[in-house]
Amino acid sequence: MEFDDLKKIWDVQNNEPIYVVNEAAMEKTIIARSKELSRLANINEIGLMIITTLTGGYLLIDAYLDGDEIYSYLAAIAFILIGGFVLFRRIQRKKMERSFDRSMLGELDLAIANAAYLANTAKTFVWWFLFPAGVTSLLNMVFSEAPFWKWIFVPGSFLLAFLVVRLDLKRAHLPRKQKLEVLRKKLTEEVNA
Amino acid sequence: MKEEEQKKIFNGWIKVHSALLFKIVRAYAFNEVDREELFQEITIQLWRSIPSFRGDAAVTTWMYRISLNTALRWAASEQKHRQGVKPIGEIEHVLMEKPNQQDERLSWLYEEIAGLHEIDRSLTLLLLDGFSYKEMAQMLGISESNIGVKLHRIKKYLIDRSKKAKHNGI
Repeated sequence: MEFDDLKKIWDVQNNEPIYVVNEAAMEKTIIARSKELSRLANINEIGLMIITTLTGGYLLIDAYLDGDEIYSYLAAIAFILIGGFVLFRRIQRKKMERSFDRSMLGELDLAIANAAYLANTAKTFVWWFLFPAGVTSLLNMVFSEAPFWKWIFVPGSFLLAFLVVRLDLKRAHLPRKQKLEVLRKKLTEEVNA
Repeated sequence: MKEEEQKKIFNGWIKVHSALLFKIVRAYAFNEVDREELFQEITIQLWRSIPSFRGDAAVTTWMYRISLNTALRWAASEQKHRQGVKPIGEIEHVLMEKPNQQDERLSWLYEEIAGLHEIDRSLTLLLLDGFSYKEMAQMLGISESNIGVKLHRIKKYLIDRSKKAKHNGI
């Protein structure tokens, strides 16, 4: 069989589609999923910004009202700075997204860059979140003679956050990045041949 | 862009070019649940792409580009089969297979395409649908000469396979 014969087989489906589309269900799905996607794309960064800023604001007001030591203010400032850092990274990411073309190679490069961004964010989570937030929170607890339950709850929360982020890195971000890199390699492998 | 206008354009695209989407879905997803999910994913991405469609490219080229990129990302995603956790009866089906529409030769061709690497599958669909090397190069972001090398290999593979096939009307 020659290629023209294969094309004739292929072209049969142009006139006789094998599927029908349930238009009502499709429209409903598109509207719902489109909103969901926009929400999901923003939920991590915006959620983290809101949580850190609110926590920082609460600690700041609490320290001021109680006339606390400088350590209480440090914890508040650390949380607010983390919120600012997340905003800075978000602006950088959005700027980067606009710099890729819309070809398959461009889309793959963008997907790889996004996967690398998420992996890098997860890898450095200890340094930009856990370390500043943890150290200042613990100092605050030492100097404010925190109750026993706080010594369990606060380090426990930080440990849980660390484990969730590491798990996400290993099970989602890194494998996805590797798969995308394989696709990119396959797409471009003969360019330099 | 108003939602009504977007809906009108989208419905027009689907009405005229749905066969294009079916081909991509069938080449990249191999069971009912996956095909349903990939089809939904592609239609969502097409819907979202409408405001940035300026008419510089033909509608089919645009749709192919968005759909193939979506299929590739979907294939690489760890989160596919998201709907697979639901029992099949609970999924509201968007895509329904027509009964008695199976062409054995076409099924054979899809099986051969499914055996190719994801990138080669994209090229095969574009080749079979008659896109030029220039259009493919623009869509994929690689050089025409590279496209030529890859297509030569794919054509040879498909022709060789057809010669070895001894049934299904081939």
